[in-house]
Amino acid sequence: MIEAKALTRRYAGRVAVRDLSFTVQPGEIVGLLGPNGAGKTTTLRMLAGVLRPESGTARIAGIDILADGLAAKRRLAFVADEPRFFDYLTVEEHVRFVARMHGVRDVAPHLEHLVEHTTVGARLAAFPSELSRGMRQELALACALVHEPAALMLDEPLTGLDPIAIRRTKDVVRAAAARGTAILLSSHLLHLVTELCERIVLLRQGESVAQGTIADLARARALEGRSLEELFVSLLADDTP
Amino acid sequence: MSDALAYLVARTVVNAARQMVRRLRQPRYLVTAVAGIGWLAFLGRAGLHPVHAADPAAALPAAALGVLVFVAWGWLFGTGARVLAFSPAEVTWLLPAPLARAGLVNLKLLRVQALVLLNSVLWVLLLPSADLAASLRRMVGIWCFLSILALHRIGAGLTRSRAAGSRWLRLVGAAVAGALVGLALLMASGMVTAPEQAEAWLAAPRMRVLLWPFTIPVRPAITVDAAAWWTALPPALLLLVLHFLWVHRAERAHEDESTLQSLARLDGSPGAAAATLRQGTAPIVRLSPTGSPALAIAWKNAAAVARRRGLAGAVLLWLVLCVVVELLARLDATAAAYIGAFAATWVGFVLLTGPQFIRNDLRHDLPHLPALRALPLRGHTLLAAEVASSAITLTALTAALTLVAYLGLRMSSDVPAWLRQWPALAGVLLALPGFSLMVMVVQNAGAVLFPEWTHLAGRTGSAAALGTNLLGVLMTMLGGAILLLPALVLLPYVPEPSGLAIVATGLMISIVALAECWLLVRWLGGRLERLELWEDLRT
Repeated sequence: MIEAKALTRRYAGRVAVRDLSFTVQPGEIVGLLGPNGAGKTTTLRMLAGVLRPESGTARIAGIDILADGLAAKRRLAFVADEPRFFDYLTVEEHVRFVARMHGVRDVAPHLEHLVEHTTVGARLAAFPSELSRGMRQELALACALVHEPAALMLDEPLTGLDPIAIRRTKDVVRAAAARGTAILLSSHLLHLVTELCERIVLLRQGESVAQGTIADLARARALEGRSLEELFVSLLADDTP
Repeated sequence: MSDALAYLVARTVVNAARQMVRRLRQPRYLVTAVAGIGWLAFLGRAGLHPVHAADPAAALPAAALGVLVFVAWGWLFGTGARVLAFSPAEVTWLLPAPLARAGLVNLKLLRVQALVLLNSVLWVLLLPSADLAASLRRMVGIWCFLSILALHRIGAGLTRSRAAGSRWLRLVGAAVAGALVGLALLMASGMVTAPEQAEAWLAAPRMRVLLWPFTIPVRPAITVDAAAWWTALPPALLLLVLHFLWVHRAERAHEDESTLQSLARLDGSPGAAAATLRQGTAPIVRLSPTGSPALAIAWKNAAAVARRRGLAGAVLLWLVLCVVVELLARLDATAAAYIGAFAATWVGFVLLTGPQFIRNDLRHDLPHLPALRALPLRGHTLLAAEVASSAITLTALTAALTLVAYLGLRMSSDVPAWLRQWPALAGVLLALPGFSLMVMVVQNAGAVLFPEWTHLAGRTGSAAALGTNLLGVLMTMLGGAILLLPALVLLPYVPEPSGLAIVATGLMISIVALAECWLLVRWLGGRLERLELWEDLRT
């Protein structure tokens, strides 16, 4: 489970996230939406233990990430927007490296899965500079899932991918959720969010504007049967400063 | 350091070595590697034949003074904290991983150690020793010395960063900086009024007490006698351990700021350059919406320099220096001449090595080459605009130093009369643009002909990197020598350098350089249009 409670963070006096609370249950996929600069990446980074919140708490599988960062990080995985790789580690070595960080002894099944189900599996000896964007995304996801995390956070995982890669990524995300992983993903591709996510958390200027299932939110605004894009615009149009 | 980080380091070293060996299959990179290894071999041979070495005891106070200046510089202007910023890959994989922060800091310090070890070996090769045991002792001493300096630089940088966010720490920092500046001025006044007695001045009891802490890291590096070395080593090692602990403690306090800097670098946002660029500043010159596209490239590159943090301070410092030297020249011509000679030496040094650190040209833009090539510009026009940017920067820097040199030397009777007249200044100022242009064209030719050259020059720790930097300096010297040939040919025909002849010579150097550079840039432009950069960098 992923729990954010009253999370707040400022950058040089400017509020990036303010008093943000929500939860993601095991096996649930929640979309974190909002316009650029709404605080999505900051929220994900705080939940992943990369950034320290100024106030509030972040819990991963019941463990407070501020109180026991290492224990919480053992149960989470974070795939950054445009993940960067080590120049001098091959594809296989990246998987082995991440496995070591999480104490996963048997890497072979993960490598086999990579070879059988992904395009990057055919390039195990390649360096990151030789991979396409889709392959890099596959590698990042494979590395993220190597320790079977209880919580998975994905920042813009589908942006810039071709249709085949998007399909594969969606399958991987759904399979992880089916295994009980709580998944929080941010994306601007609203039709894909509609397909993948049960609930959404909509941010604007660091604050939560709306939370709930897409159907409930649409019903509340008399937008049943309309696209998430229309709901998104409608929710953000209210009280726009 | 954790098992995983050890794996990361080991695989990185092995794969980087393999890539380097693979790259050497290409002759042009083999040449640079041979040059680097040849240079090391030359230094090694020089080291095996001891020459007259300076008396270590006599050198100790001066070396300690050097350490004091380094320390003061680190506290006043240091940016050592950036050394501990994480790379984008490290942010992606290490920060969300279950790894202790101390392990991550150690990983960064290990990278610093690689550089320190390389430098220790180089210095041992450079400095003569009696036997192998003495060489080993010296290497350990130099390693200890350089490690302390590196850690101090980082610790001071971290503490300064922390001070920036705290009012009372800012006040303490200002007080420390003020005290250090006062001390430096005190020392400078002593050195200036009696330069011939510098040695005695340094050996005075008060100075010995003041410099004593700064002798601790120096002693093992310069002590020749084995017994004295064993006595000098433990305090230096203790200082090293204390510095190590200090850096860890300072990093813990600075963790959030360090993470933010690393994230900014990962995002490639304007914040990525926050450490070096002033934010939200208007350009010095507004770019006209119409006109030559090449001018827009030069304007972009000039903005990169004009917006650097500390530029305004450096200009102010230079103005103050000019006024001080001018006043000093009226009071004490000899003292001013020392500053003038120092500035003149720096003009030569900056002309030779400046192209290695002034890189607001094609070398900086190389990663954006596909976008640049999509612009409606011919290769030679693009290259000319790029080269002009860094040449103007180098000219401005050397011209500023030249003016200080002139102000310092013009009242000195030890300097030939013709060199003290304004035509000498005008001649040099006229020659500088040509010379700067030439050395920058040489460097950018390297970027076009040896793209990996530019890539490697930013790295350290390999013979090929050493070779590329060395060849860069050699090519700069060669380019400069070719440029100066016409002037050297004409010089014997000028028995008594007259004002007009000096000005004409300066102008001629620039005109000849411009013509030579234009021809070279035309040819290189064609190569630039055909450059397959990414294939080259992937090998």
